Amino acid sequence: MFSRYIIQGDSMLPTFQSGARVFVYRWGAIRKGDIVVFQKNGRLLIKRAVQKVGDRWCLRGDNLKESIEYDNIDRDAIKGRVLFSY
Amino acid sequence: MKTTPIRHFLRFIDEVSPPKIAHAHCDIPCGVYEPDSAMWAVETVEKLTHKLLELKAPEPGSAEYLEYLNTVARAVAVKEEYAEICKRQVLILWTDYFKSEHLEKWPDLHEKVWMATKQCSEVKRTVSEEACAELRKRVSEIAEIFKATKN
Repeated sequence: MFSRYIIQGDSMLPTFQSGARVFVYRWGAIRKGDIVVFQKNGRLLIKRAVQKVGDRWCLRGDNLKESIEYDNIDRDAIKGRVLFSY
Repeated sequence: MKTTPIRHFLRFIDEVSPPKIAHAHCDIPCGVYEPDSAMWAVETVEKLTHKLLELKAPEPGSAEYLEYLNTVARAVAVKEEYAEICKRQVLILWTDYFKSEHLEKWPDLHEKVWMATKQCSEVKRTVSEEACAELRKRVSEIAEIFKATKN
């Protein structure tokens, strides 16, 4: 139900610096603006949910210099949403 | 960040069971990785080191002295910056590009990355062409492994 992650990289600046630890909740609906951890090509990534299209989410990092927009991330690939950092 | 009992507790749990890594990178699927950025950074560090070693200090208090200090400060700042870029580029290859199958083939890859990144710190700390040559050697080794993975 809960997971802990360490963020590695700068694409979530200024919200989270590289090395920040986040507490992620796996249940409940994803809402626009949530920061989520998801799996893509076997890797765990962290981005912000910016738009829902059908049952899929468009996710993007907060640091637009670093982040490239994702399209069509299936809801099942989302591991959970960030509740807080610690 | 305010310290609370729950944060203390989670940090304690992290000690026992480390959290997973969630990557926050510019993640184009099958992203473009290359060792050239690290090598260019090495070259810049080499040039700045050479420039610093060539500088002749004028008489303290003379009109040229302040300019000399300014040149030294700028050269050191750029050397620091590019040594850090080199370190970052090597670490990007390590964390994002190299995979477990590469480690099987090059079991000393972790050691090589560790030594290369430590050498980045060494060229920051010193003004030494020998340290730069060592950095070039270590980054070149990683670049060669990278190239070999493409064959």
